[in-house]
Amino acid sequence: MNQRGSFYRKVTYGAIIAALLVPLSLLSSPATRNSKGGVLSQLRAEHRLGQADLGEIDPASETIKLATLGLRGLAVQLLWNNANEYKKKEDWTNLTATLEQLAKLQPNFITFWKYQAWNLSYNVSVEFDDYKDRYYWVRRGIQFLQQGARYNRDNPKLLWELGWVLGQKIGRSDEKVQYRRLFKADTEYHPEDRPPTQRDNWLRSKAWYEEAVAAVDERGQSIGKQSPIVFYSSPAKSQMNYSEAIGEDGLFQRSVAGWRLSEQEWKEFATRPIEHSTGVVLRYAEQDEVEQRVTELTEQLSGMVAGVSERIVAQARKTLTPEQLAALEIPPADRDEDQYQLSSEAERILEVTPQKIADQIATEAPEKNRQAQRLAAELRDTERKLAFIKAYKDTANFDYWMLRSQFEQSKAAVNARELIFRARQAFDQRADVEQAKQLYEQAFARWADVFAEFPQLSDPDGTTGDDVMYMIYDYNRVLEQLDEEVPEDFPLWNIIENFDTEREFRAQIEERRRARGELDESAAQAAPAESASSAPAPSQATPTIDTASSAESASGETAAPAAETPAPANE
Amino acid sequence: MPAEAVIETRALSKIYRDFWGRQKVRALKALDLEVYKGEIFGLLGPNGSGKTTTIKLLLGLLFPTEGRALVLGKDATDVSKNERIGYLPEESYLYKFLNAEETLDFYGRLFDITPEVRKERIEKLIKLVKIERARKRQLREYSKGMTRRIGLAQALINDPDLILLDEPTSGLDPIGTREMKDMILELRDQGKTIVMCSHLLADVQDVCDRIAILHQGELKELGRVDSLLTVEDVTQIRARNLTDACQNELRDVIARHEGELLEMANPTTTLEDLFLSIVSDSEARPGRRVVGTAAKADGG
Amino acid sequence: MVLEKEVLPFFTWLLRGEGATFADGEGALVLFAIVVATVFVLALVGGFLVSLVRHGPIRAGEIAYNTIVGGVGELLRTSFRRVAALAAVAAKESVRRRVWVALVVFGLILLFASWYLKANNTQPARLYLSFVLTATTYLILLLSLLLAAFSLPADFRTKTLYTIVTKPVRAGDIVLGRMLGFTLVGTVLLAIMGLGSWVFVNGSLAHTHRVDIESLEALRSPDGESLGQRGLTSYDVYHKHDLTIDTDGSGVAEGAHSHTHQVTQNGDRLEIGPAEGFLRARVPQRGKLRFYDRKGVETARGISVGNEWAYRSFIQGATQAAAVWTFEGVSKSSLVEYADGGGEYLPVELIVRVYRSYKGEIERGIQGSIQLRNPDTQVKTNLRTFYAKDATIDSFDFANEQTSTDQLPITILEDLVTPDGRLEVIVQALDRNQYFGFAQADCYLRRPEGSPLWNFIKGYLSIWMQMVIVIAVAVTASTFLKGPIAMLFTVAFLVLGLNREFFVKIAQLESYGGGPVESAVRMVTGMNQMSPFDPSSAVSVMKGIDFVLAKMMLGLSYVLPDFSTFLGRVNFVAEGFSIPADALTRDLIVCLAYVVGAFVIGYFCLRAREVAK
Repeated sequence: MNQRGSFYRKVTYGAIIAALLVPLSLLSSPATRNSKGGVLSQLRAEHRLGQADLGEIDPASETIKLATLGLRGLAVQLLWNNANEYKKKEDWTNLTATLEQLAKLQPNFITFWKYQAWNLSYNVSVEFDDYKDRYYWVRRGIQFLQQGARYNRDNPKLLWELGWVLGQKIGRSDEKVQYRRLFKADTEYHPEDRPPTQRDNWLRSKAWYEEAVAAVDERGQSIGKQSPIVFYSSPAKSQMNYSEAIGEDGLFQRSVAGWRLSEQEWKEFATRPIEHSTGVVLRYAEQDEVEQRVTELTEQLSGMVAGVSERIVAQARKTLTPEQLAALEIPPADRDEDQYQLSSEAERILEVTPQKIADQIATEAPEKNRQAQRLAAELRDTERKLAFIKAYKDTANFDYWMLRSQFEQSKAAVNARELIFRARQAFDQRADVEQAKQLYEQAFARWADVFAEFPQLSDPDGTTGDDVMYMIYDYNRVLEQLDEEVPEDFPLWNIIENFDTEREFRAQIEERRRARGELDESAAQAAPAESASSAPAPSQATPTIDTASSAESASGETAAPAAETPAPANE
Repeated sequence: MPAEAVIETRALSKIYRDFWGRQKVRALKALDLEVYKGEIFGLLGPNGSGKTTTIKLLLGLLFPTEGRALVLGKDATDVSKNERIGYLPEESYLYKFLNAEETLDFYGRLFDITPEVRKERIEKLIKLVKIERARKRQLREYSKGMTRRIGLAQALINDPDLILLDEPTSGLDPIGTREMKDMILELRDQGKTIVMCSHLLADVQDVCDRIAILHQGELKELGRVDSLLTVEDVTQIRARNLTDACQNELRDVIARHEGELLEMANPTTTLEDLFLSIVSDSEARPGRRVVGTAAKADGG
Repeated sequence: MVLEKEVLPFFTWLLRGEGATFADGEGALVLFAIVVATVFVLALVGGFLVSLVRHGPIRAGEIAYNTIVGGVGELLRTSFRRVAALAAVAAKESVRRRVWVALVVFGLILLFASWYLKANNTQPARLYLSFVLTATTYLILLLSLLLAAFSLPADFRTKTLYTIVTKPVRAGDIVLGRMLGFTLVGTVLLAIMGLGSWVFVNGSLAHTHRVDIESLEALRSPDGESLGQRGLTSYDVYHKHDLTIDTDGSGVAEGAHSHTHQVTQNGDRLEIGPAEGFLRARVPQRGKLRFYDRKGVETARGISVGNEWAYRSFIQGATQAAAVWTFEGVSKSSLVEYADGGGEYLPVELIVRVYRSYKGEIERGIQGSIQLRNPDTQVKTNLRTFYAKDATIDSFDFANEQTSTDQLPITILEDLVTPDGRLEVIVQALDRNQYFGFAQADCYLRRPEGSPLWNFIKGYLSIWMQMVIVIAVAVTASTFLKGPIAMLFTVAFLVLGLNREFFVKIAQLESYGGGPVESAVRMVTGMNQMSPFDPSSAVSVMKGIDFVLAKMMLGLSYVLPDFSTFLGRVNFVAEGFSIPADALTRDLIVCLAYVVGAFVIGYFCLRAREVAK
């Protein structure tokens, strides 16, 4: 009896197992060439969760992950420790070998790729004295990142990082001349079918940036925590950097073509919708439209009841204290701290906001209240949007770079740059001091033309002033060879006065000021305070947002208040 | 003639303790024993009586809790006494991956026997225990009997003076048992002392000179087999070719002397003898045996 | 190469170690004696106490006496034949347990190594050698551990030990027999692995190139005479070489990945030969380093430029700062003949680590100077300037005939070397605000090179010694522990030995996070390593326990072998330096000490054990 019972049980179990196998095979059948596979496989593809969706499948990687028998975390921990030890002891062979092993064990950990590539390109490379060795390690870091990008297809972070390292490390480091030269000649890095003109680090940088942007736009990846302004402006900025760099190499035709393309791409960037941190979607190109709307709405609102704004101001004025009134009277330049505070309080009280107009209308003409409130709300939102656009434009220094792309195409600018280039060559390579001096003088005359044509260029927010200042320093060195000084009739004295961060011309500037009767004690004291700021490098969009006040002073005011050029905190 | 005491135990006790030192089992309680040279000594007792413990104590595989054991004049834990000792354990505690020759060679080397002597002895022993045909086979392939025999061979490799056998006949078939018993007797005739422990009483009776009976670790009886087993007041007469008249006459003689006749009949031979004779017969004349043809016991 | 701890000459290490004299007690012999004495006393006292409890004082004394006298007596009566027999059986048992599987695993590792080892390293020989040696070490240590730890417990379990113990076999024979048997098996396996590794390394490094015809350009002297050609090779195995070819068509391809190829003319084609110079065995004669600071005052160390790793210290350029090495035992045999027979020269090799405090001229190296000096008479050679090759070995050949700073002709042997054979090498940096970094091992006199094969074998010898120590410890542990526990014990021993430095650091309470109990508390409560504890009685108790534990750990550390030194020998081979004979003999003595110690302890443990329990 027992035997038969056990037999029946076994049969039942067997039947249940067989029955379960059917739905199991339906669920988990793998995807093949001819079929999409079972439910799980389809879900995997849909949500991009399969290993193959992440990137390249590497049998070596899979093998070693299995070989750790579940202790992958421990193995990885040990290997990271080892890698740090090897780096500390300058054992580069073992460091790279360990990184290769780590790459096999955690190929889909993005931070690993970013960190170690940065480690190689930035930290390990500087340990070598020979610049060729340094370049080798910079390139190794880049190749490491490329390997990571293969394991993690369409990852915008890695792609953007590739663009960054190719651009910044090769194009902006101290050894940029050497690195760019080595990069151009690097047959190991470039594929054979890449034409020589494309073997420029900035162009490669731009290509990777465009890949990153495409990954987000077309392939549904997410930017993550990165700033969309920086992310989306990077390809165009690389193009600009390319144009600048190729100009410095002396290839002016290509440079002009490059700037033309930059202008186009920058305009395209302006039409891109960018999400503000508050959720509002902006476009740079909308600015004019939005400003117009603001003006319209303001007119509409204040026009609802005649003279409403004046009445508001008059009422507000009555509430001011005598001190505030007195402070208001003093011209802004002469206010001291207390007076400044009082006056700004007063100005705030006197300000006519849309809400105040609406409220005033509500009291004066209650039947128009609802319409007024509506208008006021709309006006508020539009004003806010305008403010956001302006702030974001500041972040990308949009206006300056637009201007730059445009002016660099002008004949005057090209001519000026060419002359500077020849002057430098004359001095550096042939030590022909006289020729150099002449060329410089011609060049600066042309620069004066450029500044005349594009007055906003002297704005301290842009880099052209600093760039030209460096040229003037070089000119000064040439003059020193001849025991001369920069002459009185030098056309770009205003540039010198505003951009001399190295204080080479301090004496001459003071003399000129004295001659003009402008010099006073406070200015002389204030001057050394901000000479501590580093020489502003011609940088990309810096995320530090300057105060709104400097944005307004974009007009070509060369007579900046005393010597206080607001030095923006650059790198 | 005072015989030499080959083995001597004085108040030998063994208590098995657990890890904490508490008593678990009193395996042996103050055993006093002597084994003399040239005799076959049997240790008897039911399972758990302490026989195997005694043997292990004598060999030095266990250390006594109290008392002493002296073997060949040396303390039981002295390794040097092992030169003159052979030990045949109940199970085969030999390396299974060696063959017979290698096994004997290995143990021979452990006795520091020179290669020539070793070789000679190995040949002799292999012939003696009759495993020539399996000398190159690994021990893992041996049957129980063969394992016992190679075990005996390794016990004799050093031509010992004292041999300790633990259950030598248990598990063997009648032929194997007979051969083992014969071998034991022969070893005694060569002048060796043999100590064996067993619970197969018939075998002990056949072979041993003196026995000790143990129960629950205590010595219950000790003495010569014959004297222990002799029934004092009964006389046994065995005679051949007695006619019926003679038998009747003997009955009268006994009655006249006021003796009690217990039995006058044909004695039985042992089953062992019958079995052995049939087997040897069968080997001499292969083929079916015809039942009923005067299978009279040859007696003796 | 990096040599963080100097290799002391053998007798120095044996007799006085790092101390100044024998009496300082830091010599290896003294330490060994202390360890032996301590262990002996501890064992004696411990054993006496145990038998005191069990048997009472008189008997305990008797037992102790018997154990010692009997033990010593028996130890001395170990018979070679018995040991050999037991060793043979142990070896047979290992083969039965299929140890050759390790060779299969090793073969698999080598086969698939190419998946994980890419040759795009600037020093591929180093990578391959250290991979092969490390893989062998781990494999053989694991194998010997498993073999040795389980063998004796298996014999106990299957009772095959009964048959052996009832023969006149001493406990010492058993222990030694097993050690020898497993060592034999391990040696055979190691030899096979060594052969396989040598073939693998040489095979993986072998490659050749073609000449890149388009890159060839003629070299001409100022008179227009043809001096030969130069060019590039093809790009193979992640690198290419610079070619320099003479007028007769022979030349050399060099300049990448630490090796060269010979170039020969074959008919009308230029052929590039196989790779050479990958595997080397430099024999350096090392000296003692001291520094002069900026003002010329003698100091022990230079300045630090902010490296976390304090192996090197730096001298400032264009000041009186200098690094001075003093070499001893310099004589005629230190000099080498020029290849074209024009006299002799002293080969000095130098590794410079450059630190630029500002980049300066990017395409130009930093200049330094090197000169020889007599330590007694202060006679110096003229400054010889060079451009520093950062972190690579640079060669300077000083001809025997030199000119002194007074422009007088002098010779190295007569004027610069003192009568007792001392010579100084002085190196300075010449560029302002740039620094050179040096450690003691960075300058040496080059002696005739050893054979790379012999060096490789020496590397395997050091692996062998590690294996022997592991076997000895495992067998000893298995005399009183069950199989898996013995294995764990030996693994713990191995791990502690590999991390001995760290272990000692904790034992001296010098590591971050405190002693064992404090670390456990920090881990459980999630405190980081640096945050202090609020004082309380619990914290005092904790620190007290840690103090006691640390003392015990310190005691234990004397018994632990420093496996990382053994592993460090592998670095010698990988970097192409010959393992010095002093290091080898020292390792052998240490190994022997461990084997003897383990043997004695194993003997007593086995003897005290009841086999039939």
